[in-house]
Amino acid sequence: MANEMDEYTYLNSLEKRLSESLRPVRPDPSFIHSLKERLSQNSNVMLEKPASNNGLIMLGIGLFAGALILLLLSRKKSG
Amino acid sequence: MELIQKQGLNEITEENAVKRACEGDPEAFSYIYEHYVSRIYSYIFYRIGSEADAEDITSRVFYRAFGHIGNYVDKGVPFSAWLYRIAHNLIANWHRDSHRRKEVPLEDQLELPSHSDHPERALEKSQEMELLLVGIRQLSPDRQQLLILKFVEDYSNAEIGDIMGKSEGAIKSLYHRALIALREEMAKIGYQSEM
Repeated sequence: MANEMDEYTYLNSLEKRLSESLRPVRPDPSFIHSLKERLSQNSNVMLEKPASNNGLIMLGIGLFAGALILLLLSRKKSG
Repeated sequence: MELIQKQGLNEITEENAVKRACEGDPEAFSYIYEHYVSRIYSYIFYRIGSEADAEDITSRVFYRAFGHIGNYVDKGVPFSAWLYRIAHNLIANWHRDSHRRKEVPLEDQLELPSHSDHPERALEKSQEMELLLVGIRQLSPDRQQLLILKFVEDYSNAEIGDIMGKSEGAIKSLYHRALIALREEMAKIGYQSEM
């Protein structure tokens, strides 16, 4: 019983120490600013890239498939 | 009146920021970054104890988050849970690469004693803080995460449960085990808490 009380008191004391000692640490403002700049430049690149590339690739595939079908049909007719 | 309503619709709030960021809105990215960067940095710093590495890992967390935000699925838990999970995984990688680990004197970087403390008391406090951190860093990653989220970030058990993907009951139990484990670690390094 006495041991349980000791443990309870010790854990309470440890809890109090933790809440008194641990405080949030703020990053350097210049780090926050420079990372924000880098992220915003990076996100612009990420947002622009896929749309234009995908469109061109799809157009190319479409044109190639169309030409191939026409070629096959014309060969079938002549044969 | 209509203009005010339109401005209201365009305003970025905590609720709509993530959805808008997923749609590629750069202002929403900016809002999320400013809202979470200090908390994520603080969490990482306490886990690893080096300012330079904390900055490096914080950068990686946000690059990874913004690079994969299109895959983010809202499961009803706070967005911060996703960011903390990324940070947790990157910290685990950092620990695996243990050769790079260097301890930096913490009293230079933490908000330790208040200016009203006597010099002797201030010194005692910073030494005590160092011992506490040495003890905390001996715990398992889950226990460290819980203590930092609770005491540094001041989250409730329910919020910590959301972040760690556990129930509130599981967090209470983990918390109790973490305190007992910390007490054992502190005893090993000769720390005596005042009663």
